[in-house]
Amino acid sequence: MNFRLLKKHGKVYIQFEKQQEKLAKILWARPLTGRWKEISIVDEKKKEIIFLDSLNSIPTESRQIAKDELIRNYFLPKIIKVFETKSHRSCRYWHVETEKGPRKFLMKNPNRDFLCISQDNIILRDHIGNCYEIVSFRKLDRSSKNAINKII
Amino acid sequence: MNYKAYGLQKEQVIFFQASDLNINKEYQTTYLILTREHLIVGEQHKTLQVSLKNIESIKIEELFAHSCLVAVTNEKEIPLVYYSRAYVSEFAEFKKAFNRFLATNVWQIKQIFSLYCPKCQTPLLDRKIKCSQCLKKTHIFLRLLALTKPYKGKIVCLILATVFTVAAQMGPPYISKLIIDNCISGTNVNLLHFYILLMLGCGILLLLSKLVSSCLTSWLSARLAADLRAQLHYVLQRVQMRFYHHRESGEIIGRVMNDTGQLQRFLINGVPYLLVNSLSFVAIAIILISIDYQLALLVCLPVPFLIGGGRWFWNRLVPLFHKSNTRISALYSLLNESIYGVKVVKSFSLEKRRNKQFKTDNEKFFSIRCQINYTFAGFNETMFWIMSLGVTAVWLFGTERIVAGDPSLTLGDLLAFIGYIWLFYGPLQWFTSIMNSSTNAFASAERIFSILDEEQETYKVEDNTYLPKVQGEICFRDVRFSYDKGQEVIKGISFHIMPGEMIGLVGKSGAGKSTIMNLICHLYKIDSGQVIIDGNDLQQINIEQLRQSLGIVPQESFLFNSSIFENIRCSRPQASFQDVVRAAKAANAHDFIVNKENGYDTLIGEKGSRLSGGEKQRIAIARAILHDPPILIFDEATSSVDSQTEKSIQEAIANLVKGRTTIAIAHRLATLRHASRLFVIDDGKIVEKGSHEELIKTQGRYASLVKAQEENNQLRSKTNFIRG
Repeated sequence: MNFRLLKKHGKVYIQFEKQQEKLAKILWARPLTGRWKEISIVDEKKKEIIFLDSLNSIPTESRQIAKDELIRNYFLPKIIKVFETKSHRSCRYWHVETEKGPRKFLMKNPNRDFLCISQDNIILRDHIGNCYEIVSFRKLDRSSKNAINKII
Repeated sequence: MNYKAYGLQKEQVIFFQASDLNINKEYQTTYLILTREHLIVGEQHKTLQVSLKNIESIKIEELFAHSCLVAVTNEKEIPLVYYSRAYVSEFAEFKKAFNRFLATNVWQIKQIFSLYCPKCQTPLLDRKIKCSQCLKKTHIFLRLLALTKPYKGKIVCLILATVFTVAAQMGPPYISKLIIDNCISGTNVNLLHFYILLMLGCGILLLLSKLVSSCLTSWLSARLAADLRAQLHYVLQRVQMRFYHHRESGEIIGRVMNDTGQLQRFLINGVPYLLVNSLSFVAIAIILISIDYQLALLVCLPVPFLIGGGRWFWNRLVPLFHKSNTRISALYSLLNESIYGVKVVKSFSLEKRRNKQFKTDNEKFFSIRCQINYTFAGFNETMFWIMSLGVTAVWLFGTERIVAGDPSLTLGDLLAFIGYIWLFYGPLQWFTSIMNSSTNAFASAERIFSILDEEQETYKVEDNTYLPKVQGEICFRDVRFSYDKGQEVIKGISFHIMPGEMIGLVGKSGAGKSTIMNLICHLYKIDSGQVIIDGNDLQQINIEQLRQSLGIVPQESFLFNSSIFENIRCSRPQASFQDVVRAAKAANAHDFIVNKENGYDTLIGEKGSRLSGGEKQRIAIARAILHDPPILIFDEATSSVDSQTEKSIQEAIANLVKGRTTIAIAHRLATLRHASRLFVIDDGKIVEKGSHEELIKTQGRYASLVKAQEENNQLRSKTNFIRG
């Protein structure tokens, strides 16, 4: 790839060979189902500059900038324990421990907001759009699994 | 917040806002504190302090599932605080108030309700809804009671009928005791007929009082539910459009139908149950104690198990019910998609995949239903067994005492006891379920009240200006507007449209064209600036009159599921058939209408499903013509039709716009060439203004749009030529 990513004053720029650098935003094409896979780099006006199948195809320095930027832009805390779940009316109430600390949230529609990415990997979405990830359902402790099975 | 932890005195602080994330994006309360000199970010152990002198403005950076408030200084941008979606509204308001504060040095901020219960920190469904876990039932009960005020006569009758029901239920076991003790074991056989008459009397009283109370409860509950539904419908028609923005139609319909239904079911089943059984419970307890207090104590032994067991089972059953609802709704939506999308399913040979998916979901539903049924069966049998333990104990100790010749207990007493026990235990096993359903009913009532309390459009305010006749002069002065807090879609737009002018709004999708239309219709309140109609501020104009002065033809016209005639006439209900025909002719719709088998009586189906896109649009135009408004709004009225139909619709529009202020949005720029002026909108701002010729001359944004479209048309015609 004949471009490089640069970081100046906290902002990311893209520069193609001998061209002027442009402000860029780095996005996952599939933030829920395909993280660390396809990447889209867009300009200030949200127009795609380049689409990458993987970050591996770009030089190390640019790759690191892209990785840091993706980590900054996306917030998907991993659930490590489920303390309690409750059904009330058609809502599911969750009290969980994430890698970022404890959290209580409400899920409105489990059919839509409990996304099984694979047999083991699950994404949960609360009623206001915050997302949480269960990296491996199998690796959760017994009481967490029971709490999930109680309501889902 | 502990001010001292950040070296501050309370009086120094102008405002503070909590966030749920710290700078490392960990869940930790972080405060953004505003003082006269600084903006301070206070985390547990560290603080960041930025002098107000250095801040030019603050902005919000939208990130995935969270946001960042950024201070813009002359040198760089400083990330101040991260927050999850739970604090979006709070920080949007903060941003607005802070930037205003920088300009005017006056601090003023709108109060935002938290998305978490202040008491128990449970997340709330809606900012304005009270926490269902901390719900004060008395408050809701009193509000529900207030709804019954017009029917107080019936309520009094219901209470009397309940008292008679309880009295009639208490009679037979006691009369049995008298028959056994006096007529069978004793010598006074003459009293038998009297007792039998008493028993029959009790039966008749029970029948009548139950009939009366059932009829009254059914009537009252249905009446209250109907009243609530009507009130909800009334309010839903008058709430501000913003209310509908983040709510799914299913959710709102659910509140109108399900919540009122839930309340009705509780009023039919729960309230009489609670009334009758609470009274019976007290009455039976008194009777049992008066007959024999020792046996009465025995009867009470299984009570804790009945209540505890009921509670345990219901706690298990409730999540199962919810799971079952989720599964069945998944099945519904799959079925719905399969039916509505049958063409797509067939054309892409998706039948096997869809069948497999349906089978999987169906099996999941089956397994939940089995679990529910097994739990129910276990519940009923266990409860019956616990009750029979009490009965067995009474039989055992009662019989022993009679056989031992205890004079304080007769055979009649024992049999009366057995009779009362079943009346006593029966309601207990369902007590938890009733408490549960009362909680749900109160939550439903709370949700209903939250809609009824929703802010409504002010249709008739005393100082509303009633314009003698709307001329159609429209003026925007530095109008700003956002649908979602913090995301401005109209960014300071100003223009002046004279009566009778035709204005074309041009720009790419999402630029803000339709939003301008919505603001003219006063469907939303603007954030700042002024919208002026005929020299009067829109906020001061009577909404009803304003809307009567507007004729709107949207991109996809909504038609009601009734006849063509009714659909055209709905814009002027007093119009005659001849008026409707004239409007249909002007809209080039008359010919296709009369050619239909049922002419103007043709039923158009749900959302006009029995008509083509062009036909629907022409009916919408006929509706607008019949309405005869001074201001006309076309929002992509011809975008979904073929060229031939478009020509026909354009002719209809040309008939309609004469002498009226017209604002039109169209992607096909050729249709706007005759507009008096064109406004080119980009990213919520007007970037160019002028007539078609003027804008072409300036070679700006509009000229490039026209050029791109002409090239596109040429390419299309070449392709069509090649295809033959």
